[in-house]
Amino acid sequence: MHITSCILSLLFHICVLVLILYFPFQEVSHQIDLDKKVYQVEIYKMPQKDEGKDSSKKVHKQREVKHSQKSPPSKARAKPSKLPALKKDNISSQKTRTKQKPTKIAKRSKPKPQAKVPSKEISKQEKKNNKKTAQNAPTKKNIVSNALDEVKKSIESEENVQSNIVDQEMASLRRSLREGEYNASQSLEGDYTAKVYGNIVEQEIKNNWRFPMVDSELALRAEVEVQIDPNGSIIGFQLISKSGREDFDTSVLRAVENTKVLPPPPRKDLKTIQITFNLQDQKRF
Amino acid sequence: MTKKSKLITIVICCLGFLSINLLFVSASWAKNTTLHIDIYGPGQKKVNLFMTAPHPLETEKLQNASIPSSVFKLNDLLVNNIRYLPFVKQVSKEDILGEKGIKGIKASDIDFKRFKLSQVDLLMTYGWKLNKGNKVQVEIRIFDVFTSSLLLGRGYVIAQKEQVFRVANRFCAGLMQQLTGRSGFFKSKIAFVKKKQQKKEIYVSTPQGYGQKQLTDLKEICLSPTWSWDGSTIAFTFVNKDKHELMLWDRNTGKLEHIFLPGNTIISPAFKPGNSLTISVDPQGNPDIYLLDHEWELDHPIIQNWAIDISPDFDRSGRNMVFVSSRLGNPHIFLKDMKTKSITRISYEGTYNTNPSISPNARFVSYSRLTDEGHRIIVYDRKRDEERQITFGSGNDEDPAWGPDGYFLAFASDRTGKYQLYLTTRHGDFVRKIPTGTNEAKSPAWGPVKDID
Repeated sequence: MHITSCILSLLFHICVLVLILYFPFQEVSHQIDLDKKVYQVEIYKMPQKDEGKDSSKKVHKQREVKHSQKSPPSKARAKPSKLPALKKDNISSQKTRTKQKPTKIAKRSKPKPQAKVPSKEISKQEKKNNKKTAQNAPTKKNIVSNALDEVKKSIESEENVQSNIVDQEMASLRRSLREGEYNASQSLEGDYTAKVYGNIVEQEIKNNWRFPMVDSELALRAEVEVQIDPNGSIIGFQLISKSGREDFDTSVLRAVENTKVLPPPPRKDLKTIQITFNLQDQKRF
Repeated sequence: MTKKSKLITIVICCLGFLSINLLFVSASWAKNTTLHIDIYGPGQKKVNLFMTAPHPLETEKLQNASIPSSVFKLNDLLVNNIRYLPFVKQVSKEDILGEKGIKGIKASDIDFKRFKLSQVDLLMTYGWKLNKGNKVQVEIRIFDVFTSSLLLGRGYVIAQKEQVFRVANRFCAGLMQQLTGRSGFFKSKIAFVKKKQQKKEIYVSTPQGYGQKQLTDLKEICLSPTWSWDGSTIAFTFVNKDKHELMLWDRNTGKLEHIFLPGNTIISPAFKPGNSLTISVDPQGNPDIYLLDHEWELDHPIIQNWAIDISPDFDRSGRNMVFVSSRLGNPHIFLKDMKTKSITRISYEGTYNTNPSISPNARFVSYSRLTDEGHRIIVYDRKRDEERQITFGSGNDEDPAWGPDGYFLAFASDRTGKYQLYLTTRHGDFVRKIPTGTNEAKSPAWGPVKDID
């Protein structure tokens, strides 16, 4: 078993090394696929621009809305004019709402190179002007400013998407943790079963343990390791800790041997039982 | 990437996947959870012993000779002695698988497997042969069946029938020593009061009732015998018509010595380790416990109180003394630390607790308590601060006395209508009568461990 495991482990490590060497070539296309998915999601998000008032809603709720509303982006463009009037909090939350939207733009109009430049350079005043003019007429300037605005938002939303993903991941992590707790409690339940099993084993072996108890102060102790099969049959045992008195050690080994068969263990992986034999009975007068 | 490299990648990935799977499978196979269990105290406090029949060591010589009676006598005594060990259960022949006998008395002659299957823990073999002058040579062995190893082996030559009893006692003392680390039971004697023609005399015998011997023939009332710690002296109260006297019996000379003390009540003598004697006397009209000096005169009071203080008893160290006092209105058991002089109350239940005896290691105090059903023996565990009634049934159980091993207790009981002596253990899981004869017997006092004579 151990040799097999070692060989397999060696094989596995070799494979991992080879995969690491080859992986970078594959990785690029894989990332692209992931990006595509993100873009698809944000396309649905676009129409929700006009619901900037509901920016305080939680991220996951916005996501649901995104899926349900597929309204054209024109309305969404008309609303950003109100954005400057919003409070900082609202703006930040607006960011979260609009995070999926710009990615669509990035994909549609390929403005990425442009968007990167203005997002940091354009002043607030310019933003306001752009938004105001966007309301009036679709001039070239307006279109450009709108485009820039959207790009900026797209960047912001991209950040929000990331934070949203992080939030979602956190939420899913919490969920998994909760599940983990549940699983842990389940395993605890398993331990209880093992405990009950332990009590049964204790009684079975104790019943076969014969040793004269005369000295009230003599505290002998020996430890035996017992191997069992899934049916509970004792397939091996050995003394792993001696008491210092041969007759006591013999008595505990004899108790295990005379037991021969234990009830089947509650878990398949329960193959070893370590039993500590204490001469003095705590409950006995 | 070329087709070739892609193919290599795919193959490697597949192999990797396969190896990972196999690794997890093997890991799951190898996974081994360990359960830890603690067992406190054996489920059975008795070991199973099987005694084989006496086996002739020289069969060819036996053809024309009859088997000496001492061979069977010794066998009977061994069986009887082992019955007094509550931690040994004798397995009957019927419980042994296969052949009942053995080819020889040595390990090489014995098929231990069938004894192991019969749940035998200890196997006792007994071989004998006739020597010159009709002396019987016996070899007795105890084997551990589980390890097929010799635990104890002894050889004796019996020249006289009287020696059979000594051989049985010596071997059983060795067996007890081997099993428990103590051998006091078979190496000690019990002194007791036995009624004889309306008078009470002091007797001694082994705990099994062997070798009973009358020590006094005063034709009066003798009470409360007690042994000195070296076993050389027995002190007791002698009620001489209307006056109490202290009497000392010397084991070496067999002589009795009268000790006259002031007061009318001279009762319950008890030796301290070092053989100094304490006794309850009433020189001032009220029984107190006094220490006697080397000339057997009153030295100083150990317990002096307005109430009645009697029945002192000491542990092996001499530091702890138990006694009865009525200072709280009713007789109760108290313990005095002789070093700190502090006094601790031992008994709380009941209204009449008497006859205290402290175990040699000072952990246990036994005494008798008057219950609704009569007097019962109580054992108090000082370490656990718990007490337990260890005798039950009809009649009265009184005068408990610890054996030198702190395991056995002797007591007097009239459960059969007449006071007789019985043995039990501190667990109370064994009661066996000491055969002392038909006359009433009371006040057992267990002597120290001495060589068997």
